[in-house]
Amino acid sequence: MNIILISILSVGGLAAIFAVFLSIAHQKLKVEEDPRVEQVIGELPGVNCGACGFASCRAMAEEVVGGNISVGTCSAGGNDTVQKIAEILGVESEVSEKELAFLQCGAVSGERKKKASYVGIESCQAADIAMGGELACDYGCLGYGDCQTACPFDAILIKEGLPQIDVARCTGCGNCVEACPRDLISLQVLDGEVHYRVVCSSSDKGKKARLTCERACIACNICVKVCPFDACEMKDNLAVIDQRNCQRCGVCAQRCPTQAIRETES
Amino acid sequence: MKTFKQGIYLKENKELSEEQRIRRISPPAKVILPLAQHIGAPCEPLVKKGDLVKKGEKIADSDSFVSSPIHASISGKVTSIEKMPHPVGGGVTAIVIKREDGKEEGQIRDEDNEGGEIWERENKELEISSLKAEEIRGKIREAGIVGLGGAAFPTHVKLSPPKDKPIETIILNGCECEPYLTSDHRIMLERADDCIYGLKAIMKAVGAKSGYVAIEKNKSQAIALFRDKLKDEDGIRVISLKTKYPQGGEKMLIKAILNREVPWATSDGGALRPGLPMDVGVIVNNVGTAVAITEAIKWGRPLLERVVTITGSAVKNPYNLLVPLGTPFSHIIDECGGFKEDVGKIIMGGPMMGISQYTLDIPVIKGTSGILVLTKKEAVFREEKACIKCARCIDHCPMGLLPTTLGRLVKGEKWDSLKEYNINECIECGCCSYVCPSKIPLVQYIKLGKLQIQKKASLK
Repeated sequence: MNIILISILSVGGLAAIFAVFLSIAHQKLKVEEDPRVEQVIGELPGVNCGACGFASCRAMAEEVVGGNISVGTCSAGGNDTVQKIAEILGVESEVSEKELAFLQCGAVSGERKKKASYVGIESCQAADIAMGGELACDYGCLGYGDCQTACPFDAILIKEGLPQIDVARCTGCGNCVEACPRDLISLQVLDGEVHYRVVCSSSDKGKKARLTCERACIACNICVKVCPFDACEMKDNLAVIDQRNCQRCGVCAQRCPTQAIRETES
Repeated sequence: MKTFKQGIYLKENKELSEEQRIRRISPPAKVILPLAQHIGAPCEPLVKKGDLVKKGEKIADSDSFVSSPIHASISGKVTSIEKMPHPVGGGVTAIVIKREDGKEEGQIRDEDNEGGEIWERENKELEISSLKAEEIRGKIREAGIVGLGGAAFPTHVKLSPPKDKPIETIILNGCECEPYLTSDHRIMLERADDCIYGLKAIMKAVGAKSGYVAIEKNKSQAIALFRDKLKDEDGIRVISLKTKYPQGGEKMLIKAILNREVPWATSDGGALRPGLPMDVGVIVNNVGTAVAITEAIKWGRPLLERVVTITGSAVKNPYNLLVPLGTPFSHIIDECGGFKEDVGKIIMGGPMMGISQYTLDIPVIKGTSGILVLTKKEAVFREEKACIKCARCIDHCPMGLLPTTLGRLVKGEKWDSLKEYNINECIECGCCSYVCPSKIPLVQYIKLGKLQIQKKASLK
């Protein structure tokens, strides 16, 4: 009985002393934090993807609230996020065009030829340094899914050896762009309208390109000839569509013999 | 017997081609000469499609100091300048020359297709003492000579050390520690005098006082020959080394012969400066390079051909062939009677550090020391298992690194920690992958890690 009482009193007494000490410390040593930082963090995607160039969402939020960087820095969040951050901070929001990941290779595993059998680390980066793994094409997608691993938003899924980018989930953070050893992924404006794009990156001459892949651009120049708006161009054995001139008539995609020009989703 | 710490003992398999005298290959119908056959800046072509070129004519050069010119290895017509497969990986622009059978006067003294004894030529004796250091370097640069051991570093750059790094010792590397390969061994036996002349020229070029000829003990004939030839020479010694892999690595050689350690990379102001043999006053050169230097000095002959060992249990007749640079592998394999079994793997170089090839259309380049063809049975690949922490890789790493830790850090993408574990000191000899009981491709992980660190640094 006595021991219990002594314990309660001594521990309780200590707790009281510490409580007094802590409450004084809380008043005296308080760090003023802008309450807007927490609000801004609440609006951010919160996956610390690093697209803004800062280590975490919190680090970026502190800088935004401090007024050191523009409110539109979080590209992953998109226009909605930017608008909400602008409201919190009471500044004008900047509306920018949404850029999403786009893969410039369109051949699934059955369509691209193999040149050898690769046995080694199953990663695109590792296969690329070992003579490009088993893929005959020097430019195309290796399909081991480094981009899938790099995506913090689960927007990429490898299907039939080719990454499928889920535009609803993609935020344009650009982690996959960095992960791809063959620079096949770029950020393109996908604004919900129909676009026609070249889904091949091969600079090989027609014959070689055809031998390595069924879906390769063979530099046949048909798109250049049929385009009524002069938007198609042949650069280094590869068709290039100038999106500023393209009126989205789709003639090029219909006439392309290898389906290297396609209507892209969304 | 002198040697270095750690390393591994391998089955040599040199008996396949050891006794084969060097023979000249029949001239190929075409040669493919990539513009990057060396470490450093790639060359710019000096010819264009349709030009007629003569054997020995310079066809590509670069203004960069760390580079080496390329010469036409046969007389003929330039049929294309385009991207071609390259044995070290990726596509590199190459000059393709088709042989024309017209009797054209080559710039080079020796006839195009001499049969029989290939080494007997008119011998213009040039006393080395009459040459200036600058003159020797100039001739080496003009001849396009690079390290013929495999790394293909431009020799004139190697022989131009900065003023504050005096070179006192030259080591002529005749170790040939890779299994199967015998080209250096044959060069030493058949061209000993040229090796010694080349060594003296190198010593003269950098003002070195002493020279060593380093030969592994398994080449006893070569050791005896060199001991005999050099018995009256002061300052040049023949060293017999233990047969151990990678004895022929320059850092291992310096440790074994001089007991000096090449310092590790130091970072002064961010940029990493790798430790080089010249930091301890040494330059290491391959015996093949020495012979090429002799030819360049005596006859003004550029580097047009090299000795290549074609070996492996899937090759019908293993040979040591003298092959013009740019000769496609397919022509060489035909010359050796083709394959006798199902081919599992074709490797440029030796089994430890060589690079697997996927086609026979690739050419011999300056760094091709051998072509190894393994059968399906030999080229078996076992699946990677988890590391069992046995530390065998650490016991055998000749650089004293921790390969298993490096592999784990690459898997975890810990690029900063990798630098702390000195990943850049790895010489990629392959001992760790060879001894690993879990068959982890450690060298590939380390190569991947090095590349990623480089990429990250260039982004900053």
